[in-house]
Amino acid sequence: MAERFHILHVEDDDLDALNVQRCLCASDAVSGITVASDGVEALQLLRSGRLPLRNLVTLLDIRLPRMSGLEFLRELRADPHLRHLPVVVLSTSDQEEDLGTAYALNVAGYLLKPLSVERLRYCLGAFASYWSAQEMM
Amino acid sequence: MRSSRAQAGRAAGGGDGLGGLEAAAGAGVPAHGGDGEQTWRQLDEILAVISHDLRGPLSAINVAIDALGDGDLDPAMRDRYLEAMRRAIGRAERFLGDLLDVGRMEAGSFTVDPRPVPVGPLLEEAARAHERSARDGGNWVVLEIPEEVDRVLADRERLLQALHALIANALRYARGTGPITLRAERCERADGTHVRLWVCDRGPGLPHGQVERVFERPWRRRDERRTGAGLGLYIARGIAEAHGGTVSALSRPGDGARFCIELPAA
Repeated sequence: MAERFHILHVEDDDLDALNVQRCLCASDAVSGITVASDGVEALQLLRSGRLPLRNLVTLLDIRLPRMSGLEFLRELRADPHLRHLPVVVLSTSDQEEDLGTAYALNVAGYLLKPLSVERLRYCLGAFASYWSAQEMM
Repeated sequence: MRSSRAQAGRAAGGGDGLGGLEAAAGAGVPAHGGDGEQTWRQLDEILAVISHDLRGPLSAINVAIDALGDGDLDPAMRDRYLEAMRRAIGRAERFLGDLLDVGRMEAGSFTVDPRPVPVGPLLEEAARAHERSARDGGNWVVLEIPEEVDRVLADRERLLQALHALIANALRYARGTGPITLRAERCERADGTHVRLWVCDRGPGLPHGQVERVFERPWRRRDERRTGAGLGLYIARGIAEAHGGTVSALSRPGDGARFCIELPAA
């Protein structure tokens, strides 16, 4: 069985971050969650060595101040030390342009932020189950 | 009392924004072709933005209510939830207020009531209102008010609203980069003395080509960094222009952004 994994959640809305944290912390597969409020803070965390890069999955919002989710992805994929990291988008944006750009930047999935408790639990439960079965660098 | 079709965005051409909504609602828009189709498309864009900006906080609050119903929820977590819910409700309320202001600006019924307003206390109040959010984001607000700047001719509440929009924008985009400076400046023009109120940050600055666009109608801007409808700067422009003043932005990528409201001195 694969090891437990850590989540870097890049999200500027504190209520959304709390909701996701509460759903995912219930999963045995998740070892912990670190929240960054935008792409700049997320990159600083990843480059600082304060986060273990092994068994790390980034859950990324698209609409973020300072550095958007897509800008973060471009920077991440251009960085030889970080380019391998798996990223899953969790956003309210259902615009095809965002989906296309995100997949072109090798995201491992694109989840639309659910609007109900049940749907949020289902989506994040599926996310946790999937990544708990993956082998990660 | 002054009224303005807020002159804001008028240079970009008429017939869109919330004005489009009114036209669509009242004029029996044809289902296909020509201007009717364009109006419906504009209406669709506007409703998508409104729906997004209200459904986001409402659904988050809905999920949070479920969490608060959990008897095992840690008291510290409960407090964090309640605080975050208050902020989400505040954002939704501000959004609705902004939406009404944009509607009035587009309809030409937005009014201001200019009177002499002392600049120092005005900027101090604006700074105080953002003290906490600045601290939370690793910023602080600095005031620079020279003695020669005395009073500005303005509707105090509306000018504060415009300043709040510029400061909130700076705190959002220059998070963690240090001081946000509120500076007053007196300037002489052919038509009299004016007061400039600057909001300056040391953030990443505006992306190339965005300086001219930041005050445009929000429905038209596509910006990955925009986290909401982005009505604040458009309203700031409407408020400045309703006073017979201007708002402008200066920025170079990587070198911070400076926003300026210029109004007649009192």
